Amino acid sequence: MADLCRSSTFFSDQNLCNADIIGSSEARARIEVAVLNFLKILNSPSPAISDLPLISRRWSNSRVNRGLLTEVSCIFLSHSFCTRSLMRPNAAKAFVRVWKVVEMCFQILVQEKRVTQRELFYKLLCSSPQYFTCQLQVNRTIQDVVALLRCSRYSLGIMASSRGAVTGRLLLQEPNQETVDCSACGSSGHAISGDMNLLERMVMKTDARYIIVVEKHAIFQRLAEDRVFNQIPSILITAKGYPDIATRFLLYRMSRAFPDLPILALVDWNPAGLAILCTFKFGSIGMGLEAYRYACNVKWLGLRGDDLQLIPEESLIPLKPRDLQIAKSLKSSEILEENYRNELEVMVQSGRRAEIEALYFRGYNFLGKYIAKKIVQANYV
Amino acid sequence: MKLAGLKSIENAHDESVWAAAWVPATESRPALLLTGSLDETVKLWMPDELVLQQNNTGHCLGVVAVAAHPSGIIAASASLDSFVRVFDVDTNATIATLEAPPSEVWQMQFDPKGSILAVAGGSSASIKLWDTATWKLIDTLAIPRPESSKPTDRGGNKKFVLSVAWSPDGRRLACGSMDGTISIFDVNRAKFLHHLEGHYMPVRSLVYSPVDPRVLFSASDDGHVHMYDAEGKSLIGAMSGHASWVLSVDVSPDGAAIATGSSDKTVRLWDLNMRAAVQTMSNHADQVWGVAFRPPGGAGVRAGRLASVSDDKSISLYDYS
Repeated sequence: MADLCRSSTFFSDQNLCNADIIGSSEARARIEVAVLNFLKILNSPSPAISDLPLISRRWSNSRVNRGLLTEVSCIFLSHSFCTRSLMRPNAAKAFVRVWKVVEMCFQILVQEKRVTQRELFYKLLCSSPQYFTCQLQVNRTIQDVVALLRCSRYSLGIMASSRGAVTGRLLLQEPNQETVDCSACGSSGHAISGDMNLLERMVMKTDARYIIVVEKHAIFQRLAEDRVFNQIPSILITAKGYPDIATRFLLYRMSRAFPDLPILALVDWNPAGLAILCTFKFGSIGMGLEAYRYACNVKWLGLRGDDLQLIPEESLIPLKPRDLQIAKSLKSSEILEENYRNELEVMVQSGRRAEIEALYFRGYNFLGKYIAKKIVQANYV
Repeated sequence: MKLAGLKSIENAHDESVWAAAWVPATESRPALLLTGSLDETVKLWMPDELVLQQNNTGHCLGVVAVAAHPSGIIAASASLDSFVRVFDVDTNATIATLEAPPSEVWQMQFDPKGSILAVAGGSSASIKLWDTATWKLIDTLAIPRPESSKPTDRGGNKKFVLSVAWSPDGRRLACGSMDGTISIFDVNRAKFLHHLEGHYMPVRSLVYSPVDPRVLFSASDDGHVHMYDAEGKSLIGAMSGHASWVLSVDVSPDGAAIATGSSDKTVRLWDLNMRAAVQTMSNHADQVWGVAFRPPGGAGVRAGRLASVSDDKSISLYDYS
């Protein structure tokens, strides 16, 4: 019954395409099948170099899953394909790149190692310099491989790097290890490991009443130093910018383990901040195959439009062209709710943005008081 | 062709600067100058103002050589403690640490494709080849011992390998020894091909011409710079003029000129058509250990640059045109 409650509108799951988390032997088997299929067509009576069918990671292939019995909506990818073909001259290299990464992943799986995307980049840079020149290409190709084999990066042996941090009233225990008290981890907090397996097995205990997601590391440090989590019993978590999968996963686990704790987000008042909030809340297209599950019901605490009266006029800085691009893409998403859309409209109309640091104008401990007041007034949307 | 002094940094390092190499430009940043010094640090400088980008510490003895991967993403530094540290240029994250027995790590260079790192093996009288994807030692190219030597005369200090150079097609590797001989190896077959004779004193620096894959330049303590046909085993020309040991030689990307640094404290620019020095720069106060031309490439880069580093702890940058 609990699972039924968590699931969505009953038929939309059929449209859902997801990347499975599988063991290394199954991942190797999938790679072998992909290679054998390719060779079979190459060896057939009418030989051809088959195109690679990849799940398309575009807006056109994304669907929205509105939780009926839960409050969690998320974006997921459906079964529309795009192809990588050796036949198209401009795209031939992309085709070869996919196979090179598949080869590298197979070797990693055989050796039972785990590598980060950066380490994979170094290896590919040195072994196939004519195909790989920058990290971005490697990351995109890894996503292609995920879309081809329909299994998560982790199953291929690619570790996420540790980026996020968590602090506050949370006790974390890895199995057979000592318990870590996050509030005693200093102002940078406890680093969130990139190892998804480890995060899966962590045991968490808390006496907090709220979970606060912070966009920027500087704000996170400020709040940790001022020990805001003791004044308002809470857990603070940050991905130091755009959320990575490990931070999203930990937040998701916390939301499952402590379902009564509201999750509140503290982001800058600009389209990028809202985009970060939406990624935690709904998921993203880029990682849609793997991470659609990790959407959480995050509420927008601040900064919002009505907080602008608290900051001086001079702290409002003009929007950059990149912000307008982000705003445009957010607006075109059907998952954005009415009041978020209105806030976005106000941002774009005024052409300005404000950072959380602007609140320091009223004193360094104003931020803590601001958060406390908003929480007590339940002023989050 | 001429050199014009652009910028000098005094006290760039706390001690003599021994090694210099350019890190090729990537999509996100222009070419950087990498310098290594006796003060055990490796520094990265942004041209043209020579702004210090990074200061890498961690070696235990002086840094004797630095080299950059052709992609511009990775670089390596070698020190007298016989460790080679391979690191990511932008983040200074260590990618690998290569160990060797004492005094077996001298100059090094990545091959033009970036798949092998060749390290001059010093007292081992060989070149060590490391695979850059897995950082394993794939081969050791040994200089064959002369037939007439006694068994105890284990190359000793005679064939001590100081310098290496890759041919632009990556097929040939040249190394220079302390007895003045240059050995040429065929890399694909891992075979020693032949010696190039001519020098009688240590050959400290070698470089192949980028425009002619057979032409090799060598700089020696005998004060001369030789130009060899490395395949035909013949000496094409010799350029003299330095008053003392020639410590370093580099060829310009257009292949028309070479620059040399010497212990007579000068940097000379030689025109290859005339086989003569056309310019002498005397701004250093002590031996010039390294000269390096900036590789072509990078956004909006039109002008050539030459860098020189010296025992007087300074770095100089010249415009080459």
